[in-house]
Amino acid sequence: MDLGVWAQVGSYLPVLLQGLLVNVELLLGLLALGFAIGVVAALLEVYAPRPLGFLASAYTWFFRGVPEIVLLFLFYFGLPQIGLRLSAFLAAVLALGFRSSAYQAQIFRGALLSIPTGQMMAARALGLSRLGAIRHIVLPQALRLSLAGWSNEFSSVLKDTTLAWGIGVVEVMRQATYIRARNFTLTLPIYLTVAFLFLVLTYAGNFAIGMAEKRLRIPGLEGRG
Amino acid sequence: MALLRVEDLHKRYGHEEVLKGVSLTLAAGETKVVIGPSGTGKSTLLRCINRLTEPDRGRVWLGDLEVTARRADLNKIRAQIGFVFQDFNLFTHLTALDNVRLGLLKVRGMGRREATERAMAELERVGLKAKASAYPAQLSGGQQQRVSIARALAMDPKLMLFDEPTSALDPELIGEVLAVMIQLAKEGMTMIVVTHEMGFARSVADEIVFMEGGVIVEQGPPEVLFRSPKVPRTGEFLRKISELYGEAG
Amino acid sequence: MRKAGVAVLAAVLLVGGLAWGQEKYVVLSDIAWAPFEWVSEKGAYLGFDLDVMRAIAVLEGFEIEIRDTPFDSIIPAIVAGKGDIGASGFTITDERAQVISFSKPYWEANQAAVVRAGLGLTVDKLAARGRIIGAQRGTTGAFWVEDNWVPLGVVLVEYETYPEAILDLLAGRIDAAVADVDPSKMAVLQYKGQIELAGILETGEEYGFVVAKGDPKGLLPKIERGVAKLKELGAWDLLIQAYFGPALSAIEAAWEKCSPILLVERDPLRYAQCLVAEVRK
Repeated sequence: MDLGVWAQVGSYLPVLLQGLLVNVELLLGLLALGFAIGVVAALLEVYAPRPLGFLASAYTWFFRGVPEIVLLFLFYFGLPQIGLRLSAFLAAVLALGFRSSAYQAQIFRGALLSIPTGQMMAARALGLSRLGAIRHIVLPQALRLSLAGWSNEFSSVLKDTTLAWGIGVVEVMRQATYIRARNFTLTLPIYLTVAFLFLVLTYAGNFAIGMAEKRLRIPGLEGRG
Repeated sequence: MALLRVEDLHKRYGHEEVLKGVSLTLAAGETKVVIGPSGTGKSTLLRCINRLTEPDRGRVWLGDLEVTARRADLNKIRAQIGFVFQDFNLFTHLTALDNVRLGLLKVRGMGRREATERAMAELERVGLKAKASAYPAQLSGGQQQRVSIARALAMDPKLMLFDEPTSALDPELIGEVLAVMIQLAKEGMTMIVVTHEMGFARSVADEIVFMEGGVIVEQGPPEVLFRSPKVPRTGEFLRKISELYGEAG
Repeated sequence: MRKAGVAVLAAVLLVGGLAWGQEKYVVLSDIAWAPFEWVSEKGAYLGFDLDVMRAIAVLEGFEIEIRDTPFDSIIPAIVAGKGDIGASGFTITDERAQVISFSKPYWEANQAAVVRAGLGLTVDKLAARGRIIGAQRGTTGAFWVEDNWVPLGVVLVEYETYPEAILDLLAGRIDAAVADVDPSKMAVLQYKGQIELAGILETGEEYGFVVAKGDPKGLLPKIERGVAKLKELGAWDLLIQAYFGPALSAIEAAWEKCSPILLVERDPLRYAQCLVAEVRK
């Protein structure tokens, strides 16, 4: 590939970045949703009475077992059948967010189970309610221990955002297709560029999580997760 | 009126009956030391008193408040009973100061400033003011146990329960913890201490309670129990434990 | 790109909305199939299918919103009520006709085989045992090779997209890539000297516009009447001249200049004339 090709790719960079912004929006949305539901599902699995815990387990089992693209189709094409109309973007955030929540729940569940029971007992002995103990003692420790696993999940769902094109969300891969459709010769360099952009994003994200991990690190709380 | 009344506590784990009807009373300012072979229900007894473990049968009163009442406000009751664990159970993610301060802020609803002052005072009382910003992992076992005592004391408990507070400590660290407990007893704190430290029992206890097989075999003032136990088994156990642990402390 | 598309769309909606409160239909298209539909460098949706739909909308008095949708998802989307019209070079097949309804054919498209230049491969030589032929999954090209050549011993390799097949052809991993004639010609144009047409495969396939099964919204009569009017006006042939042949960049520049005539002034004939005049410059 000669320099001219890269100059051409360079002229398309703003367009690719615009597409990448959609991936980042998707990513933030689905991670936030996945985090909120994941924490609740993990807490239910670990602490709630049987029926609720079972429900949470069934939930994570379902969303871990169904392929992403099928979930996307179910949310985008399936929900209108029962009267729920979602934009492609929202359907993608929900489908991928629910899926991520199942994986995040596994991460948090492992971390919650690794907190020694004495922590909960000491908190209860002080007079904290069960919820208070979870909130002030167990969860802060579990979340710190989850960061390593969470950074894996981040890298994995970042790549999953490209699947959103399957239901028509115009993200970076679609932008790459547009470019390729009007200029076949750019196919390879465009995909190389997209790969590079993802590597940069993954690196930046993991770096940020690593920094957070370092800042939140507490002696005696590493390594058990 | 007794500060603590325990009546006929029973607790069973599966096939094993750990408590087979234990009763005991404690007057305000009194210190009782519970001794006995391991696995005889001493820890279970302590945990049943503040219902960290739910007893199968029997009743517990703290003053005129029934702890075992169905509608008892457990959180409120527990806040009045300090509990010191064998393995400290300090909150791993909190500094010594925050460990002591947490109950004040989140249970007692105290303001931040007042809570900090109080927590610092408690840390000073156990000689660890300088370690306020240290995390548990940065403290020795003895220091951790002293912080955990400060954590319990900060709540102004009516009663302190110690569950083998020195068993997890290296021998050279036991003394500093016992010193704090002796000081407490002298200041008139009401306490039940499960321990093998006979020296401590002898010098501090108003009464020694010997438990075995889920029941109280014998109880009485230390000088009586050590010199002329009514039940031969008590004397046997006391001799053995004194050989094992010595009388230091 | 997305923003530009939205801006154009907004302009269309605004003008349309101000003009008269017309029905609005959602047109679904996989906008990466030049010259039938593609996204310009500036982010505009253009192409023969799309301009035909826009012109029909003007002539028949309705509004459209064009939505980029994966080709495989267009029929499911129309079945699920997420779109009204599919305009994306759909070959009319019995299989598809079982779940949706087609308009009368508006385009006859044969398949073409593209090979590496200078090897002297012809269509006859390709139809032989051991030849490896690439095509885009789910397209008529793939089906045609499957039905006609695979029984002869040809190996079919399927790709997610046509450009991937062309890349493998350039790399020597396949002997030929089969696709619709027009995209094939475009590939040959772009890789001038590296690849060439081996020949046309007469498949007699026809394109139709897609609507929901049984046409509950009564769109087919409007579409077919619109096509007839365009042909009558002469705009149809002009659009063909403008879109099939010239370089994409020339078409994009012409569209940039002429599209207001269609979208704002709502005059399909003058628009088509403008387009042809501009691409010739």
